[in-house]
Amino acid sequence: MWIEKYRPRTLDEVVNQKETVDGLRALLKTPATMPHLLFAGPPGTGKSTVALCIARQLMGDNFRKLVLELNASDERGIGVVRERIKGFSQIIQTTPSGVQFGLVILDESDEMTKDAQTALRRIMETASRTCRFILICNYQSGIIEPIQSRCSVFRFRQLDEIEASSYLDRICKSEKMEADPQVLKRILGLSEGDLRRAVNYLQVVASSSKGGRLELSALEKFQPEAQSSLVRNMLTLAIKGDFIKARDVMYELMGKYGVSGREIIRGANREITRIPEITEDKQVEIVRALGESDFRLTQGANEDIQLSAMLAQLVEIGRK
Amino acid sequence: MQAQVQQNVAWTEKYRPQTTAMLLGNEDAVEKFKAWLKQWTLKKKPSKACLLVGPPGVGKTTLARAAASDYGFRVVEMNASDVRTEKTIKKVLAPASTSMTLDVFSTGSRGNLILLDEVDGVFGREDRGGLGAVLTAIKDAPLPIVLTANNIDDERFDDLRKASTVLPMYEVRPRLLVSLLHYILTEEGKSLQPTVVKKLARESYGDIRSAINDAQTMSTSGMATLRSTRTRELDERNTVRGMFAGKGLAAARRVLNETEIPLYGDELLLLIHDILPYVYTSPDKLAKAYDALSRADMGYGKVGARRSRGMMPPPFNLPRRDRVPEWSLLPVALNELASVGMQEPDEDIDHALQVAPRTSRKIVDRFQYRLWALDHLCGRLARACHLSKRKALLDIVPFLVTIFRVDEARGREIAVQLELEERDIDFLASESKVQPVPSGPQELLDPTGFKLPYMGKDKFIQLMRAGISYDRNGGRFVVRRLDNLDAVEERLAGILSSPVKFARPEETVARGEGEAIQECFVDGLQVLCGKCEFIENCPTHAVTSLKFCLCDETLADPKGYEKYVTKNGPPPKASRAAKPKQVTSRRKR
Repeated sequence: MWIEKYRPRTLDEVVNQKETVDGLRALLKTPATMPHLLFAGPPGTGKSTVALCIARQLMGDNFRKLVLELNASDERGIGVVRERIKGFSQIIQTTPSGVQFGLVILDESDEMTKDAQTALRRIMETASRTCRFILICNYQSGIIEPIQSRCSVFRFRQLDEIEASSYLDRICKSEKMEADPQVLKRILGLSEGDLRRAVNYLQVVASSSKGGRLELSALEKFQPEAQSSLVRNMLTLAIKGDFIKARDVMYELMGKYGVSGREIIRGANREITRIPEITEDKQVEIVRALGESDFRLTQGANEDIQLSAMLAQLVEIGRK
Repeated sequence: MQAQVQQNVAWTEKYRPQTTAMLLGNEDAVEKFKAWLKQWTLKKKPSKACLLVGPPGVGKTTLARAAASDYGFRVVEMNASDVRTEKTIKKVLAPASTSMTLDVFSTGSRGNLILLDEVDGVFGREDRGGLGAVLTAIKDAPLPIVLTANNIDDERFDDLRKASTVLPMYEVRPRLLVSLLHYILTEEGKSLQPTVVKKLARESYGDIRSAINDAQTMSTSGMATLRSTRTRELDERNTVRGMFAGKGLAAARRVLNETEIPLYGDELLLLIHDILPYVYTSPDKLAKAYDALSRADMGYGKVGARRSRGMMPPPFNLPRRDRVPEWSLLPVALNELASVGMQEPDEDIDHALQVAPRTSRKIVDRFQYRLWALDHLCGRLARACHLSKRKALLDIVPFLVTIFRVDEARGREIAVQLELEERDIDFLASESKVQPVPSGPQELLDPTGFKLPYMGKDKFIQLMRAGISYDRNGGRFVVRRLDNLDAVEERLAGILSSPVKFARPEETVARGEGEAIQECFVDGLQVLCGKCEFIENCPTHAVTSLKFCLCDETLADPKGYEKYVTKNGPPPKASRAAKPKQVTSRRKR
């Protein structure tokens, strides 16, 4: 993927976030006194990239050995995080030669619960002799105060169009593509300031291009939210009273497109206001049914049973 | 026949495969294991031992023994019960592994192969040191050492995992099991009803040993079902009838006690789920009944019973560390389940059982398969792109799929760069074959019964003229002639405010379930899965990594197993069942 191929490898290659990067560079002049860092900002603004750049600059060839990348939303439970950090700091201690510390990059740390963060705070303290942390989050407010106070906070702001398009231009050049400003504009509009998405869109567009010219036709085949029309169809059928057909559409969503129950509920929440058959007083009831169903999904064993129960409710609401 | 002579031999021993060609399932692991063992016959010996991991009864020990006989090794077996402490392990391992035995020259055997069964069982808490002894033995051994284990997820086995080549083995597909059982039964001159055999295979959850054992017990004792300690069990029809009989909660609960449908899985839940809208047609009753069913499902969720993963083909039926079910909570769930049928049914139960399509099981399984495949793919992508799995799902997967859709060759290139596994790439390719959902609402009406908003007498007459009639009892419109729907649509567009579109019969049939080509091992035909006439009955078609599939048509074929074997290797030796012991030293290379 291009997002990896063209990911900046040093801080100098980072196109945006000038103040942030300058500040970090100053810190890195004396690596021994580097504090824990907290990066906050919207997705696709280069937080992980900058963290990796720092890691590479600090560790050089020992990068693989001395950097621990963790993802708070994947490594379920603070216990796992604790164990891995513990094992990691032991490795650091036994590694000879002038390395002062290892680096722990904890991505999406605002996904952790408050309790987990409290535990993380202890871990940071006990491991601080051997490890430095870079915490990455979308919302600084999702991180508890005690952790914030232990880190120097760097904010990453949304990329503006000029920065983003200059980056895409560069990719086009090295891929020997003609950078059609019209196409780039469309891509930037779709990606909403998220550079990762923008690069991905660019790659998709490029995959169908012939002779170095970018074609937008590939975007028609791209449907990240393909299911919305089906969800609407399902809701309409249920409200009109055809339970069996509505359930069939649900089966199609789950079986054919692999949409999970929660995604269907989320989609339904989005769609109910757009269906003309649903009057306002019914909307309230439906939202209540959706909420209940959302809760039951987490408790139940079979998603399709829970969703069918919701559809049966909608049929009843529709009849009233 | 010879078979009758050895009547008191356990079938599991009698039919234990003697060569790797006769092994059932786990084709991947078998190939890899053979490759590993073959290295031992060459000059350059592999440095690692081999660790076979999988649930009980999938054929770990059998694979080791069969492969050993293929390559002419003599198996020295150590069971969990033989070895307990470091001392005994050293004693047994040392002479066998370090002294190059005289056998090499005298019997033509290549030497010994050490088989250490159930290492995860042996080295529990009390066996401190035992694992260490094995580790040192593995390191120095000049002989092949094969270890088997059910589960090595625990940290204790980290070193063992590193020191050996780990080959995971999975539950055997029930369909393969069915053909094996039929084969054995015919060999033995016994018979069981096909439905019973199917059930045995399904309920064994891929445990070949237990399936064969059960088949032996049942066919020799003449018992209809194994679990029938009671004289009378309710079949599916009577169970459902009893549940909706309207005799109160206690009676319905009693029905659940007497049903033959297993209550520890979700079979009954899904059955009720399938037929419920055909039992209750009035919305309020349906909503209430579904509410009860959803509560029952929540109850099952709390019990945390394992779902029937046996249907999932490898490699996606990965052994997971499941929560131990809390069976004590099951009665609560069953009470909820019993309350589903408390209202008077709108339709006849027998009728509902007949007309309701039993789709949920397939949907659930396919859905589950896709989730596992996605999870694996996202795990890979997350590591390659420094993301969380969830972000990979949202930010990478749809883009990759689109690239596959636009230009598959390029997509594969990228996938290889990302170091994805073959199965991930196959999955992406199959995903890209699914056509995107057409944008915009597109509701298809069923021409054999559809509803229209009320629009007054004049329009109604116009509709009648356009080729539509009204079914007064059902309250639905019906298209009179189905052979010319286009013309009807056109005429209706002139009458109604918004155009309508009818579902064509063929549109509902050709659902385009991926385009994976699979070879039916029975007739050897290469069939596009979308075109296969048995697609509705086939749970494996979604998996492109399988080289063949089995369908319902072939299940009862007693020759099924033999065909499978010939497909996977040389045909079984005719004398195998009669003299199983000799085979060990026969194969030379």
